[in-house]
Amino acid sequence: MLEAKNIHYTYPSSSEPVLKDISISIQPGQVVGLYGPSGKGKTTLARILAGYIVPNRGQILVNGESMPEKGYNPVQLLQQHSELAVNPRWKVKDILSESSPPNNKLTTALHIKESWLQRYPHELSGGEIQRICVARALGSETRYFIADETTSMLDAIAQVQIWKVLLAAVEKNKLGILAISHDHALLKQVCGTIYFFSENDGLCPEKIA
Amino acid sequence: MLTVKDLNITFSRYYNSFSQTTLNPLHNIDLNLSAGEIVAIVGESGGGKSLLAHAILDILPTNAELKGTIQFREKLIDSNTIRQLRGREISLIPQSVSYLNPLIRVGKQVCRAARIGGLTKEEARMATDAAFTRFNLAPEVQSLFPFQLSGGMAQRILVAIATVAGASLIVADEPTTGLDPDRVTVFLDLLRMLADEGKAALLITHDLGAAQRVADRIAVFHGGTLVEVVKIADGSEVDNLVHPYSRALWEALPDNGFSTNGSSFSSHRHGNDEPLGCLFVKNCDRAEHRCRITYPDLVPAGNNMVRCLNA
Repeated sequence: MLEAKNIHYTYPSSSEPVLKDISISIQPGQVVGLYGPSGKGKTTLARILAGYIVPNRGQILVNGESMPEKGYNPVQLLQQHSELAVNPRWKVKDILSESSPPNNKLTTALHIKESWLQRYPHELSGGEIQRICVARALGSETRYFIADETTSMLDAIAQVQIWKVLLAAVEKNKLGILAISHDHALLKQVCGTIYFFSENDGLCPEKIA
Repeated sequence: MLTVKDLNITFSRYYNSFSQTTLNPLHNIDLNLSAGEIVAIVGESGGGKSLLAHAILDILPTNAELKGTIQFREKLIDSNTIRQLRGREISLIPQSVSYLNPLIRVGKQVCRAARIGGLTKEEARMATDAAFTRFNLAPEVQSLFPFQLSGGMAQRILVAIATVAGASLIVADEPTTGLDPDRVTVFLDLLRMLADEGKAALLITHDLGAAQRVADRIAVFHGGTLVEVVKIADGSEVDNLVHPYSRALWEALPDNGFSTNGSSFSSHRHGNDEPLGCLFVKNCDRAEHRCRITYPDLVPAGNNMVRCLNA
């Protein structure tokens, strides 16, 4: 289980806290949705869960233990702007094998084409880079996956294709996913639980009919 | 107001030091846009939608070659005339608020856009004040820097910059990506208001839902060309799509089934190849032998224009 316990966080440049006493947990094989207005700390929470930011107070536990400091991070974050998450001077094939050698089944399911591998990131479209990033983040040691607006820049068909791959991993490898999106209809399709992120009350669970 | 005729764009690209190959990412585009109308362009990510906008504004990369014509008010747009039109008659609403200059107060940025658009100093100041009132921004906002604005305010500033000099054609390239639903609504209402005042707008988006809320017509892009153009009656939903790709796009929306039948990917056409067959043929469940050998034209089918032999 991936747990965030009583997280508080204030950006160094600001006096207002972004996150106040936030707790959330994601079970293996569960897809949790997070929904709410912009600028209220959803992305900050995602970065804390993946270990990019250390919270002021509170802790992150992966299966009851704190996050490993070295080696493969079992919590993988897929950032909103994937073109900023790849090294512009690396070829796509190097980016793809950064975490572990690419899995052929996965690259086929994501419709990653052989011809992209010899190119640099600027020669691919945003949607194509996003597929590369999904493949990179779904290494065999990934247990939890934080999808921050993963498919917001893609067309509807590509969105379905990527989510099918993610949901297959949930089914097969008991991956746990936190999906952050403005698209409520999408969250209703893919998530078992949806939280609404409100400024005053923190996370409120939402009933799904 | 805008007429695009038989537009083709080819790119040449070196695949090793000595050999060149050409790509044909945009072909056979015919589209017209009249005053008061919003046409939404929807379709594949990376399918050439932005290239069309770049072609209209003449900001294509240097290795692109353009064939066909683009006319604005019966006048041909080329690299000389576009200089007169860009920023005055035709303006762009960019994708992200990071296009604002972070070091200049926003009032000054709007004013500068008005000056570039050909207004005198005095007129520009008045136009700026008017734009702020019109887009519901308090006069104090003029002296703020972009980082002090909320996302919604920053977006209204972008619209103000695009319209302050009285541009009559507005090209909006993915303006709603990543915005929360309230802001999307605000933006779409602004666009509708501008169109109702007699401006024309080209809304490039992959959000079919947003498109059907404001647009008068929706043009569906696939494989670098238009496969369907649908008229939308007021307030009605698009349920009469004909082309198999547009149908697939519609059925993939989370509200409409979230389904996909196999792959949607089209390969870009290579410049040297003759058009042979329909570009959707590999993914189409209604494909027949003639679809593999005949390239379909955009023809009327019911109320729509469709590029499909089975329409």
